[in-house]
Amino acid sequence: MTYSDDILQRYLDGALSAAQTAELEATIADDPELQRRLMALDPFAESVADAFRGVPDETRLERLRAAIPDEAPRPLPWRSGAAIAASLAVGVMIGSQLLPAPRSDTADWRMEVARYQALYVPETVAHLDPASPDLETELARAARALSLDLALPDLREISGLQLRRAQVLGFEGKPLIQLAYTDASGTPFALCIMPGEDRGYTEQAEELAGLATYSWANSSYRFLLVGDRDQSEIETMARRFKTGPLQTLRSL
Amino acid sequence: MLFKKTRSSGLRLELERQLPAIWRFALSLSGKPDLADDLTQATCLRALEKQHQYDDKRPAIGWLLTICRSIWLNEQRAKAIRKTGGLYTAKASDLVDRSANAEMNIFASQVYTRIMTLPEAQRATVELVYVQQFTYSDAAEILDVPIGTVMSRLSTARKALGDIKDDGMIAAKGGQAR
Repeated sequence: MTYSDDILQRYLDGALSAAQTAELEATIADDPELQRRLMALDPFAESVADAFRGVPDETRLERLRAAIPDEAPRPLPWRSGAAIAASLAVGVMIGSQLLPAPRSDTADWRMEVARYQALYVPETVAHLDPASPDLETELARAARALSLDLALPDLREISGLQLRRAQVLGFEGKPLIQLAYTDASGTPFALCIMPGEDRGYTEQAEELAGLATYSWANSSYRFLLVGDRDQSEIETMARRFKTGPLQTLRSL
Repeated sequence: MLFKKTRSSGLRLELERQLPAIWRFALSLSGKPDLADDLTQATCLRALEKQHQYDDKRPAIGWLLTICRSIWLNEQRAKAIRKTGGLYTAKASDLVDRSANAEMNIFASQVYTRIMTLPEAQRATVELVYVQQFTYSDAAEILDVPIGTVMSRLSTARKALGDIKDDGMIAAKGGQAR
């Protein structure tokens, strides 16, 4: 099907019928020449391109240019985006030691958890009563899924966080337990636990999906604390979990 | 040694060359210049980390913009929305940071502002097709949507921009307003 300039012009003006529009849009996918013609006739192409000429300005461009590293980066205390990007592939500086990058499966579960948690707002968990007997049942269910004793009093209230709910989720065929907490202001946090060996990665502080995360592992389980807080605060909280209730976990 | 330096210089040069394009696309996604800075920087870093994927015989821009979009959606968008309570609420005065560009005439400024107040998906599509002059097919690939979606986003954007075209005819006849 060939189209005259007049038809194309009418398409651009939104003056074709729905059927004609649909037909043209179906044709154009496989017709680069038609795409080129339509783009050349588009009344906005030129003025929009003009409007963005000189954006970004030279000052900004110079600053951005200076920020490109000479070689593949290491984590730097830069702005958030840069820090995430750097830490994802290079591994994380702990003390002065550069650890190897985590295996992709560990990176994946952390990212999945962070993305899920990013959907949490205070209202997600505000109505959940910490004193409810349901929580007992949920914890028992989670404990069975992990074969791990989670009936630990100090898991309920720790580091300014109040346990609200325990959920059994799954990741790649393995149970993934999410313990939902809130702080005094109602901000949601989650401690996640899933089975999986250590594989040489010990501790990771990383911003994922816009949230601060801190993860660690022992010989049989992986742990992750995530929430909308400064990275350093999450790390402090995570250490309280790690050296507190989660230090001496017993199997069921 | 985790990374070899041997090939980074070529990619680094390419990044410098493509910086304006990356930044404009980052701006079209995020809607805000400071977010675009962060996103551009993260894109450059990620590209350098993934430089084994870089093929200097093929145009890198599509690859770079795909990285940019992925970082925006996966890592920065949710955070930006939480911090600012939404991305479409920026005032025109925040968006039009054009003081450094005295060449800019009023009509171009108006078009710029109007584009920046479009919803994110339309803005990004308009930027790729009108500003970067990607074909509809290439824009669809970068945005990971069917070509029909690109066409309909452009069509919606054209409707939203409709009256500026008429204003523009008048402004253009009146010459540059300085």
